[in-house]
Amino acid sequence: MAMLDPAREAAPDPGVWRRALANRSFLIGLILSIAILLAGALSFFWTPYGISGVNVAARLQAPSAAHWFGTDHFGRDILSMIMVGARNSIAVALVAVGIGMLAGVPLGLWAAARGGWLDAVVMRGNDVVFAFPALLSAVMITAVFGPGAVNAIIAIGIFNVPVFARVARAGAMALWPRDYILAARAAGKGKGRITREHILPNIMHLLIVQGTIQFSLGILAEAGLSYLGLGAQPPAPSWGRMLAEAQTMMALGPHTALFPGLAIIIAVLGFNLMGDGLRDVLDPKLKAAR
Amino acid sequence: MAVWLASRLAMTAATVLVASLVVFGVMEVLPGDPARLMLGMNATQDAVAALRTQMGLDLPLPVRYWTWITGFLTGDLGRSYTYGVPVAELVAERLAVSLPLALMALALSTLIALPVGLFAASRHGKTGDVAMMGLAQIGVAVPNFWFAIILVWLLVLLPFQAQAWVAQGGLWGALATVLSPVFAFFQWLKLPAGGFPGWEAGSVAALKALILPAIALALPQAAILSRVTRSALLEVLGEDYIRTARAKGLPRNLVIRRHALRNALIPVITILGLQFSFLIAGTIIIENVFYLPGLGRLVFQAITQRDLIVVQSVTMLLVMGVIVVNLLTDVLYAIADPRLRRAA
Repeated sequence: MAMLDPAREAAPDPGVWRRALANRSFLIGLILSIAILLAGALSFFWTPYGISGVNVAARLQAPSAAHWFGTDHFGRDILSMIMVGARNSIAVALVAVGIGMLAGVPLGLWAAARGGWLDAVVMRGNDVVFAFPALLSAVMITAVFGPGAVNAIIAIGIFNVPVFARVARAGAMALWPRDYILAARAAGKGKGRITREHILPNIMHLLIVQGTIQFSLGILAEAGLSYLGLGAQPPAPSWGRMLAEAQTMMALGPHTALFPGLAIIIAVLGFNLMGDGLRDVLDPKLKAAR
Repeated sequence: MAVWLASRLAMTAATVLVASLVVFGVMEVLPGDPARLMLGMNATQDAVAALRTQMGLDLPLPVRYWTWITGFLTGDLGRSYTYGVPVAELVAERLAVSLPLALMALALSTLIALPVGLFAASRHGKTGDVAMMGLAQIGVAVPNFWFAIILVWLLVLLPFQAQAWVAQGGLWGALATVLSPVFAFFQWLKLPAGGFPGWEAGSVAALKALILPAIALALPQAAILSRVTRSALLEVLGEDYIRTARAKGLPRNLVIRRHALRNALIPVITILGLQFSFLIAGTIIIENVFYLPGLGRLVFQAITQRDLIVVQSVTMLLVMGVIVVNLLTDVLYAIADPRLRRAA
């Protein structure tokens, strides 16, 4: 391997955006993700209808020009509920990814830099967390601390930690034997400084790709938890709970389940496609292998 | 190989030990006194204290951990507070639902995923590949409980409602008339929308109750597995020995079947092992959707009822299941791939 200037290796390639937008997966994913993000952002200022009012006269209406996605069993506008619910899904998934990154990346980098017993302990610790079926543990955590959006975030976030630790460690381990790292060490830089200045910038693309994937998994996990009644509590709308409530209404209004489910699919699909596309663009070697 | 196996076994034992400490620790911080919960709010302090002693709740932590874990390892999983029966009995009863469900889902997802992956890889880059992988992307994004709700609607509720539409006429009536053979078939199937009649009601009735849950569980797994199968096959197809086989004049499909598939199965087996953990998580939700009396629903209900010993023992069982399956996949992997055996 030639000795690359680490700064140059890390610098964003000016063509990266152009190449990303030419990538079909990334483009479709970007459009879907932006649609969901915009819907959530817009709901802070405007929704077609208010979501707190109960209007029994308008209950379980099929989709129409007035209510694009129909109304639920309380007569609330489902489109408005989905828009406000998007906020909840995005917030939970985003903070859960943040927790995973903030705790996992330093752990992985530390394990890679120190090696030896510390590495072994961190990686075995990861194995233990991986042994717990994530949803089972999330159910346990929310049972301990009580149901709610914040505890759903913690439950999902904990399981992101070993994922990011593993990615960061694997990425860092591949970089440590590089010539420019050796040069930096010869120049007298400490392991901490090398990790900050050379390792972290060069594994950033791995972390971004993993981040988008964990984000979409977070949205799925949040939906599952709130379906079980362990996520955001009423009256805050959440996609999972909308589905749980819709389940008993299927004979009367199947649209009550159809649209929240489609919202989840679009959000998860969007971020997954974006992650896949990004991986192809940022890591061409992987693309060849896939 | 023996050294590798020994160290792998030691690591597994250590993981089980730490996992048991975590499970026990979490149960300790779970709020609510089980003795108080069992006796109700009106019970006297003395009665609660007496029950606590009887249940061993007043013993020091390490003693309680030791009693639990030694009992667990010898098959004594404790006694459920709410059901009043040994947990081992409960587990055996619930496993009769969850295990067939998980196996059906696993079989179904493999049966779907292998042909789809094979098809996509053999048409790499062509329309068929793109279409299949697009479908797989959507499959990964579908929440299994939503899919379950929609399945029940399509296969159980809709066929009944469609009869009314036929009478009404109009566009929906015409559509319902066209689809009426399909709906009649679904009605004839009489798949239950939920619940479980028990195996004593006959295996046909019991299996029918598990079909929709198994399909709902299998779909996302199949989507992931088909992607793995495809990429594993593509990787193998780039190898020199494949080129040699092709150069010998063997047709592409024969090369895929005879040479590539077998080698591509190694990563597929690994993913199958990893999916076990997802399956367990999936059963917790799916058993709740269909009101199936399985292990997942048992744990979920036990958590809300504060039946700690049930939660503790069943969680530990599931975690051990995952750890053991991971160990088995590793060993299988080593057996299947001689290069790994030597490196290890």
